[in-house]
Amino acid sequence: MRKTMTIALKDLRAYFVSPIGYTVLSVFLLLTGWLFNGLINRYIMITMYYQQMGNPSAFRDFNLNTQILTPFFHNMVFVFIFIVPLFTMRLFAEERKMRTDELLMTLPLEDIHILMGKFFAGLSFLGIVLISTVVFPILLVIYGNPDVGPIFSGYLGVFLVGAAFVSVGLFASFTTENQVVAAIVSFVIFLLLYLININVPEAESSFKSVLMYLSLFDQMDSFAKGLIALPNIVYLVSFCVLGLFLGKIAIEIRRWR
Amino acid sequence: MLEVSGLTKRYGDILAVDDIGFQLEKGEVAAFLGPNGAGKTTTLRIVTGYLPPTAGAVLIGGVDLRREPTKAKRMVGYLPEIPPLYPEMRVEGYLRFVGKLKGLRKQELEKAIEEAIDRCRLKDVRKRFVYALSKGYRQRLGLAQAILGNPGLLILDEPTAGLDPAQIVDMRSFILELKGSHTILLSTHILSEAAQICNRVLIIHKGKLVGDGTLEQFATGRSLEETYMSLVAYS
Repeated sequence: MRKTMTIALKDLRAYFVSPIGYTVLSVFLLLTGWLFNGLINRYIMITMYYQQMGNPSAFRDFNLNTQILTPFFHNMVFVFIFIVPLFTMRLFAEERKMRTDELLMTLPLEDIHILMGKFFAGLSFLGIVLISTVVFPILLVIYGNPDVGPIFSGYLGVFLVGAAFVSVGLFASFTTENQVVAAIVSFVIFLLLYLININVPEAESSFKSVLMYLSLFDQMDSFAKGLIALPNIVYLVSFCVLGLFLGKIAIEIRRWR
Repeated sequence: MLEVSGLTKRYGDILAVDDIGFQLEKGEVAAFLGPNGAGKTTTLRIVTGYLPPTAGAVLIGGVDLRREPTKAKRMVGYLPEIPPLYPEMRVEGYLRFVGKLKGLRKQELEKAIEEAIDRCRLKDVRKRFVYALSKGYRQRLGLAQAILGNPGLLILDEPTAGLDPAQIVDMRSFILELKGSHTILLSTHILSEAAQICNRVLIIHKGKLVGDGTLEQFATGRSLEETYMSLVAYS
């Protein structure tokens, strides 16, 4: 555990001694902030419209949670598609490029130390990115009265989806010494997962539910609504485990080739 | 201390290392000689556990590298051809990082760091960032990393390559200091260097071990240079 943390801390620190950490952080805030602003504007517009119509029944199910927070969490996950590869691509590819993998692989370490150390570094950075976005829901709480529970469950969901992304990005980083290739591979995987339910209407009924279940983004829905459901957690955690397992295989292949 | 037998490494059709075997006793300093591309670096990488061999076994202090890699690696300090440094770290921070990964703790760790800084004469740059170090200091830091925690076996891949003459002398005297207490396997192109600091010479050519003996054995009658040329003469 100590060795794992040593590697995790080193890689987390590496994000902030180079511009990469700050760049990713500010780009993420810029994009989510922009989208948040859009949601607010839309909310105000619709409210005004309904008021003019004078139709109170239209306001059923119309509140800050459904109109702003739920789409806000979805937006974050969408932005992850572009952002996560940017900070996971360096995790191991850079070691290979700089030839420091020769150090890591010849020190008395187990594969699991390297794998989990890198994973925790990615997770911590993800955590920092998410914490920095808390300012948006806080604004809602100050100026409105959203239901606070779904904010927490939404963040849990976003974090779990992010963790699954990090595990995939880490795997990609283990497969190549070229950071750009690592980023493209993870980007394509995320995009596929995003688009996986696009063919649902045409699919066979049994296959349909599989596709729906596989979509990482549908897994977000219940979290954003304030529901912490076991199947979703199981899905996301097993997704992480699968990503890490592939990463482990990638290291082993490197070791035994 | 180090026992290598039947070591073979194949990259596709290319046989990089071909059935190499040798033994190093404790305290021996061996020079690994050979032309570029002979398989020196590959062999050293296998011995340190960075690359897996296609066939053959490596025993370090009696421990099988393949079966118990972590235990075997604990006894090895390795300076690769390119010192494996993190530019964004400070000299001290880097040594602390490596020390922790070697499993050293608190006082033991601080002591080992001080010792390594002292022995590799890194005192003046200990607070500096690695990216700001000159080539000579980088090499020394790489060496400091290798000797950290006093492993019994040191594997040094061209420790004097790219250094200026004064630094080469420095590095040699440093290796001579370690002679006796550590087993050292180093690769080099410079024959006179091997003659000066080593008591054992291994000559590798086209992946095969073509010469193995003590310096005295090689030096009888002919100079090391002549022996080397006759063994690796380009045919």
